[in-house]
Amino acid sequence: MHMQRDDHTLLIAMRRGDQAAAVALWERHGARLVAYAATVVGRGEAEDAVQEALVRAIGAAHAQVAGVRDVPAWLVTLVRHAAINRVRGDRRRRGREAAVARVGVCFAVRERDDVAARVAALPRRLREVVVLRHVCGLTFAQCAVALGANPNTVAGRYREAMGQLRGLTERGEAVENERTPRGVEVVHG
Amino acid sequence: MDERDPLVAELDAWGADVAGVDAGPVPVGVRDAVRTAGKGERSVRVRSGLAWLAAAAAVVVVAIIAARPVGPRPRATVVQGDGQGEVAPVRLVQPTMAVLMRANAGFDPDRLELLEGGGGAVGRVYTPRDAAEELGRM
Repeated sequence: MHMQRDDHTLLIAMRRGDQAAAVALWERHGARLVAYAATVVGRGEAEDAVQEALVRAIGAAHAQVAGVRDVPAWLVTLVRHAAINRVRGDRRRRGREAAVARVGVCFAVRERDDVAARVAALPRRLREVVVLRHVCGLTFAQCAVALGANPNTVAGRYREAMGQLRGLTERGEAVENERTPRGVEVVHG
Repeated sequence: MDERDPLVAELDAWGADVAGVDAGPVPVGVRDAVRTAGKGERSVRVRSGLAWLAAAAAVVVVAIIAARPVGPRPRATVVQGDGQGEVAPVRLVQPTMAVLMRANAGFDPDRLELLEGGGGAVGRVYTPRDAAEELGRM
């Protein structure tokens, strides 16, 4: 709860032109938001999507920001919208196939490439929940707010994702760097 | 999910690694937006301050007007240019005379007749200077 107030205070201060607050907020959430955005648009555009979302947060109406009760979930919502808009724009510009090929990109660290590859192999609706839970550290309730879905739906997606991940592990289908499934690209952080 | 589940532990470790990656400096676009927001915030403060100042000034003016003693006011004395039918309240007689002189080419500013009013010689024809002196005595 204390952290929530801090986030909110930082958000308000950032909107008032406080660069130090912007830095603090970025250091606290930047990597997580970029990692989440990468599950939707790919690493290359993830930072742009996060930047667009933060700019939108800065320019949002005061009443809207004052009513934000969960800053991390709200920021994820903004990032999600920005990322999805980019995917749609990408599809319009370059055709559906080209855009889909970029969607499976996931943010990974070298020693855990196999985990990243397995997560990246999940469908987006499942991958999002796994990343929000384990990278962004959101609860199911926060995930539900961020994704605009029912908490039970989110929990169901998480169970389904875990089932698929277990299946991938048991069947030994963990993906190596050289052989990525379904056009998934693993980007090293 | 059980926290001891190896898959959950593996995902948690991966998530911590990913979240711990240095996000780098704040994106330029965000810094610019924060700077712009700061300028906007200062502008809003200035505008707000000016609005409060104007409101306070309006309150003072209203208070002064309300505090003025209200008593019976003398009936307005009117001055008329000869045959022109122009009238003016006494307080505005001098500026109005000037206006009348400008507005009516045929108006004779040297012949002003006081039609009615307290203390003045009604019906008398005044020069502007005489009219001003007369009005000053009223």
